[in-house]
Amino acid sequence: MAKLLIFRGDTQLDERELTGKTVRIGRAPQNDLVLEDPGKGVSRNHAEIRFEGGRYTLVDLGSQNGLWVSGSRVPSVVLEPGVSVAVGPYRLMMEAPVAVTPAGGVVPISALDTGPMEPTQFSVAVPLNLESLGSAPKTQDSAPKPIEQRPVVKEPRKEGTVKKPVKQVTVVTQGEAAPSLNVRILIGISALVLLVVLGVVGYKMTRKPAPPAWDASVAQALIASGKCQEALDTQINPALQKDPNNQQATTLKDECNRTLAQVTSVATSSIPPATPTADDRLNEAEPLLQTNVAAECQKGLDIINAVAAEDANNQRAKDMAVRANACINPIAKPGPSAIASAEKPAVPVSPSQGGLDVIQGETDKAYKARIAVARKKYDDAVAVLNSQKYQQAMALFNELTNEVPSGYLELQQQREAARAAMRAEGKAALETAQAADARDNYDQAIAGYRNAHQLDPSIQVDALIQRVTDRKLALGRKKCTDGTTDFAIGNTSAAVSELTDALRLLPQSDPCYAKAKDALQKIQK
Amino acid sequence: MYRALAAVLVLGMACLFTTAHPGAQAGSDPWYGLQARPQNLDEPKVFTGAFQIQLPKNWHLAPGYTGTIFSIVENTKKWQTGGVITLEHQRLLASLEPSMMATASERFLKDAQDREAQGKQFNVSLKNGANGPVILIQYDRPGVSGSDDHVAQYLIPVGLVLYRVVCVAPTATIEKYRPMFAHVAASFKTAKAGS
Repeated sequence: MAKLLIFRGDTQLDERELTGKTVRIGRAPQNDLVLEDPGKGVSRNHAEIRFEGGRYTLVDLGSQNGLWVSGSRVPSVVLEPGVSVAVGPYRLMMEAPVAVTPAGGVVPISALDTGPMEPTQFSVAVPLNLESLGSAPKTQDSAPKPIEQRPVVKEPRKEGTVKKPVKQVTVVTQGEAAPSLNVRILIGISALVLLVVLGVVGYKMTRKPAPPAWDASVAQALIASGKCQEALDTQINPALQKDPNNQQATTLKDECNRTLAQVTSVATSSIPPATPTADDRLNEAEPLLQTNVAAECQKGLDIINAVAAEDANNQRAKDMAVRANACINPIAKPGPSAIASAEKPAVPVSPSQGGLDVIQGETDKAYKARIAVARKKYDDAVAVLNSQKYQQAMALFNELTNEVPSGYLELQQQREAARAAMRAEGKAALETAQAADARDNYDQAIAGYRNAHQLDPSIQVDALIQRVTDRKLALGRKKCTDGTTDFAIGNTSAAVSELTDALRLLPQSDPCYAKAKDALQKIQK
Repeated sequence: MYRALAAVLVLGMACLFTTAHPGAQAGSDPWYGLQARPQNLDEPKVFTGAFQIQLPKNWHLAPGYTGTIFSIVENTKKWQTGGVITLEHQRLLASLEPSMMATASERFLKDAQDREAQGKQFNVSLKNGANGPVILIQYDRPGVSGSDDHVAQYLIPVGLVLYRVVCVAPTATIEKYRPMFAHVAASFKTAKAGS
């Protein structure tokens, strides 16, 4: 069974058996292999291991920092023993094939590894414990190799998954008998060579994969393809770390930052608003129905129908539709949602409760609609009365009296209140008219007398109005005569005043009116 | 028989006399009317073809100017005041219709009062003249001889012209002049209204 080894720095953190199934790797917790990395060198969904053609391939899933092998970014890589793939701060590699020792012990190559190895540097060798040189061969203690900072790599939270222990390092000696001097020398030389090799390999393996060299064209291409973050991580930021004065890198960094800010802004602004619930929308329709105005009720019905279209069983929508239809067209045939209510026979309501006489064969819906219309008229009339427009209120009450049965609400009391108020206003209007009459303010007096009679028909004003009219006419004629006379004898200043008064006081049909007008025009000329 | 015939003749003569001239009312109005047999007046004199009037005999005619057409003055002893009649005229902006005469009377009376600060016993009346209503304004005023003079102004509107016959004589002897003044004013007639 193939095993995947996970390293961070020089430390092997974990290993994972590969069973042929795809293994998803990334920072997000839903991955099969979770690589925690607060520095975000590992993307949330970074890569996956696929079993294809009898071998495992690690494929980049479009991560920001990608997969790196031998200092080069690769889109995918076949996992083979000795191939170390950098994923952020981690390194992944396949376990080396098991070497079978003469003693029959097994030594996994990886157990000898102290760090990622380049394929060219890797060589299969049997490590020797220098302490065993010159001493009787003995079997190496099979105690597990201690691992520092072990719990960095997390398993995905799957039940039944058992975390595998770190592979134990096992060293097996070559034989039972004591080796000869030549053999010892050979072994010693081999050990020295091996140590040198291991030192070189260790040195190289501990080095981080060198980032690609600064290439502005690469960074620009990444930016152009929308991979700003990648350009920052792989090109721009390393370049600026090397040379903070790199103007081209600085410019590209600014460009990237602007692009990322725009993306963030667009993402934020494109968050769709919360969708209102059916109840919210019906709540919105409720005040429209309460206006009991057809136009408003129609708006409410549109909302209700929209809710009903989404949920045909919404009882509240059905009820509100009935009310809306009654408001919009009280005598119209009900809509589908109101059929049940409409077909019920009318249930009489007492006039004192705002009820009307039931028409033979009238449905309950039509009856209630008529009640609603009458009630609205009543409420409107009361509102007009309260606004002290007594005549208008009286007219509305009178109209309503012909449409409703006796004892309807407080209609009679309201009418009496309106009538009493009109009488009081009529009396006041009469007094005002008489005062105007005394001041010879004929027009105001006549209007006041008429208003008084309109407010209270019991006030007789015909004789009063005739008297004022006669006085007005007489004065007008006198003014006209005086004015024309003064005009004739040359008293023009007096004539202007008198003629003006004459024109104001006389009806145009009066014979003197034309004379006064003519004289005045001549004076003005 | 003869008595009845004589009565009819007398009545007929009387009717004929009264309808022949406005002066028929002379007996009824002491200040406006023709005398039956005016012995101290000349025949009607026509002036410039515009109007005619009977003036006292042996009075001196004096020319006028601007609004005064003429004056005719009684012959008296030196520094004694007698009677004088002046005829004036003024243009009107519009004809004074009969309906306006009452107002016009008030206006002219007030005008006279305003002009004659020392005048007294002002009064105004309307008379029926040959050319229509005539306004008569009378009052007394201090005369140049020390005694009061009586003034009688006859305002006769004719079309767009207002003629004013002003008769003045000592208040003390006014009764001697009154019939003459009444006749002179009543004899004024225009040839054509408005001329």
